[in-house]
Amino acid sequence: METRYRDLRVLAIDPHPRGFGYAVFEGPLRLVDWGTKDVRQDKERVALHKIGELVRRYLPTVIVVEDCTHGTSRRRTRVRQLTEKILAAARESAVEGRAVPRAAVYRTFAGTGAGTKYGIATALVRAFPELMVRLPPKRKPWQTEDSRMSIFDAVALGLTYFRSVRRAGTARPPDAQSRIANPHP
Amino acid sequence: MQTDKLDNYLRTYRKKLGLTQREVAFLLRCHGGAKVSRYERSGRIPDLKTIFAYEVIFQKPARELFAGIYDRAERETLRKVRQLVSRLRKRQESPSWLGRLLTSGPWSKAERMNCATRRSRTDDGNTLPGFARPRD
Repeated sequence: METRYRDLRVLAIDPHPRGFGYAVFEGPLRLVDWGTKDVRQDKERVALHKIGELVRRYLPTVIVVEDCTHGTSRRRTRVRQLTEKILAAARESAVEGRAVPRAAVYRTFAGTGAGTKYGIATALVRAFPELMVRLPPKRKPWQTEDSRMSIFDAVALGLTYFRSVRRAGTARPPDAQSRIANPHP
Repeated sequence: MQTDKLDNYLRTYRKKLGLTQREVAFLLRCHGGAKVSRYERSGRIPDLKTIFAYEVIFQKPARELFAGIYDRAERETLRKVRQLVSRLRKRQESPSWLGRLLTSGPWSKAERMNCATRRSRTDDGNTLPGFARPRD
């Protein structure tokens, strides 16, 4: 039986140096939850545990992460490994895992005129005004990135996933594991 | 196939309003955010007075705030409606309210739900081996 993409519950995760940002969608228009989780020590184990808590709470149909194997990804090794482990854990838990390349995110938001992460974040605030309070000030070149940006990256990943599913027609059933962790067959 | 709704959407609506758990606790006349957190995690079901207070705060009906619980209650009630009607039909009884019931929403909806309830539903969300709690 096919799942309509509007009925999908999607958990998008975007790791950052001090934890990860997440966004939970029920269909592309409904943002159910969003936020950041702090992880300071034993990052991989604690991050996986906290992601597991989110999975238990929201029972998502799909988990979306950034595709770190894609050529446009500039993620560090720790994040690459964490992303792989998230997808593996999703597979073990019979949750579909999808990796979305960063380039696809930029393509999704190209129509809004957003060419930067901050541009995408402001476009997302227009679509989801409830995110306004979490939008950090624009980063200066000498500043490090605010951890709150990972919320917007996660929301952007989720929406990019919905766009890809909509273009494909309908979503695949949740138990279809054929392309898990292998978005580029 | 439709994804089951969450038990409640209290956290979603709270965040949409930009309120903290402590602020909601103040509005609900609770002593701290802990109880609000338990409500949001479905660790505790609020009493009727609190549910009405939530309706006032979020300006949403309880069936939307507690969508998953409402859906389950609706399914179970419609199943019982179906059972009652078939029992009455077997006894060839037709009390005056039965006609109303058959022509009104619940019965027709119960018939629709009949197929839906036969679908296997997986509620064993706690068995997630991949995200198993680490052993400390």
